[in-house]
Amino acid sequence: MTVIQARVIHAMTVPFTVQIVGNAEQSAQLTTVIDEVTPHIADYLRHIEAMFSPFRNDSSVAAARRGDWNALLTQRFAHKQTARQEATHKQTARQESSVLSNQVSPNPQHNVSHSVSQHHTQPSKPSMPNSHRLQHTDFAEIYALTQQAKELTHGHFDPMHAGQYDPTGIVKGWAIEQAHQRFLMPLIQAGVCEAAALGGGGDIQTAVAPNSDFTWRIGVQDPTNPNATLRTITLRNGAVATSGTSKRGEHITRSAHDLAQATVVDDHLTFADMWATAAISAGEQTFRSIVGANPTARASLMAVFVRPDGSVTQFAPGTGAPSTGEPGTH
Amino acid sequence: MKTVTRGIIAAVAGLAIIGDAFLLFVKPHLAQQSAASGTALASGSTGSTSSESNSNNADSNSDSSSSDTDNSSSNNDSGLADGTYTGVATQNQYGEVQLQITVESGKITTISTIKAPSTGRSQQVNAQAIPALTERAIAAQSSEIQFVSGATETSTAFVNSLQDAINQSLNAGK
Repeated sequence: MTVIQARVIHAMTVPFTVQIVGNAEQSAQLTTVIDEVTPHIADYLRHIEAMFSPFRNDSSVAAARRGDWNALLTQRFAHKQTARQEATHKQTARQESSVLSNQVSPNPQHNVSHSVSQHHTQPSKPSMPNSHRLQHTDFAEIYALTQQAKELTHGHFDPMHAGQYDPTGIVKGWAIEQAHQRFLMPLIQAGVCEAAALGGGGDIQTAVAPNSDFTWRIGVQDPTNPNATLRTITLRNGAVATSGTSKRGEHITRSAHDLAQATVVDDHLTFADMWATAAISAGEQTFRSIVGANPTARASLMAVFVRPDGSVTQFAPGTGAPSTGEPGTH
Repeated sequence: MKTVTRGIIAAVAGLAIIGDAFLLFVKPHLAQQSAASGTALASGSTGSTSSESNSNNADSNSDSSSSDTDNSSSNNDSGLADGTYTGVATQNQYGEVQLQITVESGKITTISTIKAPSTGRSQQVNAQAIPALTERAIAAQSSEIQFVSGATETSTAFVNSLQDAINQSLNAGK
């Protein structure tokens, strides 16, 4: 029999839910483990909030808005990461590798071999005068991700709001994904639990141990009735994000108004969140064509759309025809 | 010796002013609040162009920043060496982005993306993503869920929300 423990953290004006899953015999251990890990996740989320909040004068984003971008080179979270945690980072996962452009073969082994100390303390490159290797910083990573997001979504995800840098739309999803990777994945790897998920403000990153048959079930909220769901998404390792017209902290400039809510499933929450935001901004048809033209997105995305009239459609381009009789994107 | 020092100070101030003009007129998108940031950027003076024995940027700052308009609240003691910084490549399934950052007078003056997301790399990543996809599905609503994905979840309205009820029910072992 499976038991699930849940804890709640309040940060970034939204509630975050931590859940870990084990069998009934592990129940007491699960309680201990979740009570240990939750404060670490809370600290991490609050640190990210302090760095990226545009509303706090002492944040790096506020400094950037004043023209001081030094956090790109200096600001990072002093997080102690073990070699084992580093090894859990999948090759598809993200950043971390500090790979330079002249480096080939991004194979997993190669990636794993990059130690934490390497990406935290890159020495200056001696070969060219006045040329330095950029250190890895969270602020720089977010900046790069916002630039990537803008390009991937044909500008429908825009890190500039009213002429000012505002990465809010990507920070929360990214922070959840990071926290999940740093604090919950090691529990699965160590066999302490068989599944673990972190959600915040309606965005969720999940994982399940390979030898477990657990499957996460995530309800898509009805935008007109917060206590009801419209669809259930089942997944093991992946992410679900929802954007709507009322999402907190999101500044979405809309070029179409044919979607009331967009829920996107992708491997990583950073991108699920980005695509959900882009869908609300772009509108359904434009979003379908942007995703249809991107091989990676076409292969991995699924979506549930709620239109202003309350009708619900689904989108799963990688699997051919959508399951509700909607005509295909392509 | 005095004239040498004076000359150096004048040169440093001159460079700072040139940098200021460059930032104000050439790169305005980097400084949205141009008035405030313009002075902030200029006042971050230069350690590396100074030939004096000061190893610390902060030491030589005071000379030239006093010749500028004002020393605003932003941090001038960055200790950033002038030059071009490259290398953080953010890599993910959608490609790769690499930043190139130019530091002049101890301040970041330009940020450019030197490597756009590529779709070339994604092909090999897709192959790995496929097994996971087969585990994913969208179905009619079910009462047995662990999370709610919505756009309205806030801390102020969390108590008695659907997610709150689910969490409590899970902790109660139901």
